[in-house]
This record gives sequence, C-alpha cells and structure tokens, in this order.
Amino acid sequence: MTSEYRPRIIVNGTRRTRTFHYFYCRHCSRTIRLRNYGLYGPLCPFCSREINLHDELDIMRLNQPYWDTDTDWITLHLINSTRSNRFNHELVNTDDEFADVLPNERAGPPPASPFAIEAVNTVTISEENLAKEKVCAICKEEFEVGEEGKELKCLHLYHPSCIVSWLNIHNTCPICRSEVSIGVSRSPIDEGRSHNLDNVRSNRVRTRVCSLWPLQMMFDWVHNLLDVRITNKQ
Amino acid sequence: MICADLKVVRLILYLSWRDRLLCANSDMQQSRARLFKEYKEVQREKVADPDIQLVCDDTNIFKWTALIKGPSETPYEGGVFQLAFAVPEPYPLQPPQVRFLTKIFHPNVHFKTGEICLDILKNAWSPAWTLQSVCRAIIALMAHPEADSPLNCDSGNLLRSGDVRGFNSMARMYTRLAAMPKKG
Repeated sequence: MTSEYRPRIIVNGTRRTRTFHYFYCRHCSRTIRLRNYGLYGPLCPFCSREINLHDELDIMRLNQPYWDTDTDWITLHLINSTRSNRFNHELVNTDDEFADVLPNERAGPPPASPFAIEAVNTVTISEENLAKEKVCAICKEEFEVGEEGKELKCLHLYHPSCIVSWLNIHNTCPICRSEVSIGVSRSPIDEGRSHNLDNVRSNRVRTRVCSLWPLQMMFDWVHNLLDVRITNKQ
Repeated sequence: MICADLKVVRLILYLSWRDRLLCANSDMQQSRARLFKEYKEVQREKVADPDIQLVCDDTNIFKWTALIKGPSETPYEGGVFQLAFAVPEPYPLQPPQVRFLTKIFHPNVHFKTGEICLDILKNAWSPAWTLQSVCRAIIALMAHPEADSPLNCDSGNLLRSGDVRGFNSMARMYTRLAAMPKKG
C-alpha cells in the first residue's frame, strides 16, 4: 500500500520503487546519490556540506540516453535550472577554455544609486592631489593639473567617466572598498525625520524601478541629452 | 495622440539603444588602452618581479599567459605554473578570467579545469587590480590555501582533517609531475 504513494522512478526502462535522489554538489562539483535525507536536508557524503534542493538532477532524462560520441560520460540535467548546460559542461569537462562563472558569484556589491553618483564631489586637480595620487586607479592614466576629477568621501581621486562607469555597477571605492552612499555629503534639507525616511524609501523604490534596463537606458539618454544642451548653452 | 507618444518613446528607446551600442564599443577601446598601459608596465617591471612572467598574445591583447614560480617553503617550490588569462571587453570593470594550464593539487583550484576560486576574481574584484597584481594574489593563494572553500575536495579534505603531511606530499608529487622539467 505504502509503495503506491512512494514516488517511483524509471531507470533504463525498469520501474524501481526504491527512490534515490541524485544531486549535484557545488562544493565538490560531483554528482552524488542519496537514498533518503534526514531532518536537516540533504548533505553531501563527500564534503558533508548542505546541498541545495534546487540542484537535484533529473534522473528521468536517462531514459533518452544522452551519450557523448567520443566520451563515455552520462550527462545529467538539473530539474529546476535554466543553466543546465553549464552543469553538463562541468560534469563532462570539455576542453572549452573557460567555464563561465555563476552570475551571483560574480555579483559583488550592488550599484550605487544615481543620486549617490551625482553627489560625488567634482574637483579640479591640483598639485596637491597629484602628490597623493599620480594615476587614476581605473584607467591607470596619469592625472594632469587643471583636469577635472571626482573625489569620493574616502578622498580617493578618479577620472569622472571612469568612476561613474564603476559606480554604475558597484557602490564601493575601487581602492579602499568603502561604500559610496547618499546622505552625509549631500545633507538633505531637514524636514523632520519621518519625512526623511519616507523620502529615502521612495528614493529606493524609484531607483529600483529606474534601474530596470529599458527605463534606465532611456533616463540615461535623456540625462545625457540635457547635459549636452546645458553645456552648449554655457 | 497616444500613437504619437508611442512613436516618441520608440524613437527614444531606439536612440538610447544605439548609444548603448556605441558605448559598448568605447568600453572596448578603454579596456584596450588600459591593457596597453599594463603591457608597457610589464615590460618596464620585468626585472622587478622575477617570480612572474606575464606575456601578451601576439595577435590579441585580450589573451595573456603567465608563468609563475611556486612560492618557496610550499610544496609548489621549484615548479613553474602556467596561467591563462581571458580579459573581458568591459575590463577593468569586470575581472579577467584566469585558470591554471599546469595541473596543480590545491584546494582552491579545480583539478580538471584549472578554475581558480579566488574572491578577487569574482565578487571582490576592483578595477585597481592589474593582471600583474592578480598573479601576485594567485601566488599568495598558493602559499595560503583556503581549505574551507574547496574546488578540489580531496585536497581540501586532507587539509581539513589535519593531514598536512599527506597534502604536502600529494601537492609535491603533482608539482614534480606537471610543473618541473622532466629529467633525463
């Protein structure tokens, strides 16, 4: 009776009542097989780390064997993954030059908000600045006296275009990693704390909406256009 | 009326898309300029750091290889390890992709693919790093393996279970096999 309720799998055409779960362990990058997993979720028998349930492999796919022509590897597909190709690739270990990195591994700190970017101090580079920093850490070009530069709150100096393109991706100083945020240097008009908080919140929502790809593109473009007009007028 | 609005929006979207493409192109020029700077820097500093030999591909400035010497007082001492760099177009905003071409037994290097698990090559990247300093970071990683985030589990497990001797002899064996000139 109970076997009726047990999930069954078909392996190579034969129906099996014993249910194995196949997982891919990201820590030791290999496939593992578990009969059952206890209260604490599946653990890898090799590195005894927790396994993400999303990394369960779709063993049913074995019905349509997936043999590589020149190697004897079986390729397994992850059930809930659009990136299953990546894992095939890792299991099979082809001669491809670089396995691509998981996007969330590469994520790092979030982008700075447009307001924070605008709030960065613009300075004209003087001899004093040059004594402290000779080259822009991003493009490695030397600074010149009289040139325009952007100085973060941590007093690190960059070319405006260089630092803006970095802050659009990550909100940290490339040299010292201190966070670039709105607030301190901008000192918004004090109209009571609650109002301020609301403002911050609505700003955050606005930033999030604005950073959607097509919208951001549009805003950037309009912004640039306005900038060009203003400079032309001057 | 709405139709006209839609047209305007479409025009703006198109123009911004075109600008984006142009920007992408300028990205590439910026990374080229920066890589060229690094190339000159490498030529100048060749003598300064004898442990690293960084060479740019003759035809493609986005492909580099490096030879690094295994740090002393580690099982990699005496070995010369080859690294392959693939620099992405948005460099230095994105980290270069680096892997070992020489087989190495190290907890943070994938034994088969040579992929390296190093934070500065992933989420802790900063454009202030250069290819040269990445090489230095990799040498430092060789001297101080992080057994808690292993890509090579066998090696990580040896270290985590406290079998330093076992780890050292395995690592030394692979250094001899793969990273040293064959004798006789």
